[in-house]
Amino acid sequence: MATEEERRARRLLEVAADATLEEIHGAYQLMMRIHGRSGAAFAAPGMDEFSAEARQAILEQVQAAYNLLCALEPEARPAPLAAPAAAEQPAAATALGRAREAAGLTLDQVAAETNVRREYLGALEEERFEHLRLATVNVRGYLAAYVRAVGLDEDAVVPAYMMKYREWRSRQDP
Amino acid sequence: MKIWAVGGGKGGTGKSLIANGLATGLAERGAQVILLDADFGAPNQHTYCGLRKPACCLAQFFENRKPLEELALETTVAGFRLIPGNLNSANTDSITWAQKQKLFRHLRLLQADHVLLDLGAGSQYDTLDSFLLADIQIGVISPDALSVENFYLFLKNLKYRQLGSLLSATGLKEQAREIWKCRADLGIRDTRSYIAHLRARFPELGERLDRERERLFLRLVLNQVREFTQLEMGRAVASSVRKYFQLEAEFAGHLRFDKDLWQQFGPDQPAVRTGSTFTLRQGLEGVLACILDERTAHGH
Repeated sequence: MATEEERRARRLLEVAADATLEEIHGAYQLMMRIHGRSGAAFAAPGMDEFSAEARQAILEQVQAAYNLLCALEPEARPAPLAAPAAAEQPAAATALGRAREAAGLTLDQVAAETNVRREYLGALEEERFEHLRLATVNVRGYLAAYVRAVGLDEDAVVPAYMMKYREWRSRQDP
Repeated sequence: MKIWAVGGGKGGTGKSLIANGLATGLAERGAQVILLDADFGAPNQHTYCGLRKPACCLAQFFENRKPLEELALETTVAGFRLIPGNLNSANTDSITWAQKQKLFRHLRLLQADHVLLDLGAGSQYDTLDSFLLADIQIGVISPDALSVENFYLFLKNLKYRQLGSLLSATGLKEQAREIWKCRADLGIRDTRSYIAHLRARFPELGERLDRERERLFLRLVLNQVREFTQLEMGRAVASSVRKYFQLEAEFAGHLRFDKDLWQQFGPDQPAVRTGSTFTLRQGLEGVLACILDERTAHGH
């Protein structure tokens, strides 16, 4: 039976009551990425609600919620994420790459996590479609694995990416 | 019967298109649907529906006491009727308090499974009250900072409106006003701490506010998506609404930008049904499925 504290932690991380540790981990990465960036287009820094203090309080709550939920799991991994400040210094050229970096993961780690070859992950990340001349179903599967590993929303990212990929493919194979 | 409201603050984000698309989708599922054009200042649902010269409009309800039901015009989509907004009446951008109360009473009497309200831009009281009235509240944003900021302002005004109505209902309005005047002395920095102060001072107000807040559940639709990289904004805004505004919200889906859509308005067919691209319809279908809980919703 979940305690009120645990339920509150899940609400903060925006995960379901039956979320797995992996889902909790992904949600934590997403929350830190979203709320760790001060100048993002989805914030409204001119409004009182988005003050630096409010943002800091939210980040602390998210961190505390994650720590609590991890402590409940005997096999929990320590938080791999760097401090929010690190999320503000993306170096990768694409959104997928930036999401991976914000999650504190290297391509090799993602490859180990997903069992997808590093070359394919790199091509997915950099949208080098010419290096992804695979069956579309495989591209989709590799992409979904990547997206889950870096903590992005699969439903939000995969369909749009695949549409772009299919458009490229249809131009190549009319 | 369920009342749906489609709003969101900024103009041009696609509220009317989405309201129309949702009405079409519900009717195609076999429901009886009435869409009311509640954009009092700039109605154009009739044009979305391909009714260039509608036979009646909402003004006849207010001015001629014509029953609302009789103003619902058939469209070319079976089961989907439209009550057009005021086209030929002066002073149309707002309605009086009495007119609004009458309209809200009569909305519940309409013979339909779903009544959709297409709201105008901005945060006028009529718009906020219509949004608060609805059982299903849909906020439309586009993936840019302007739209998102206006959306947050819309939410903030919704919260103020809820609070103001409750303060009036509980007779605490004057006391609340005095507290606001002395906010610096009381250590009240912003609206959040103001509301926290009021809650602490008047516990019964806090309880009623909680009950009212529970009625607010925002379904966010991200429209005009050009790049898949913009999609995370839907999740991010929903999360920000929960965390910074303490309102329940979910990201219900997105619609891709359709560069050819503008050409479809005006012909005698509904734009959403006949003119728009497959991806637009696919997006609308996804949003509707999420709202009707036909698949796992985003963000939960």
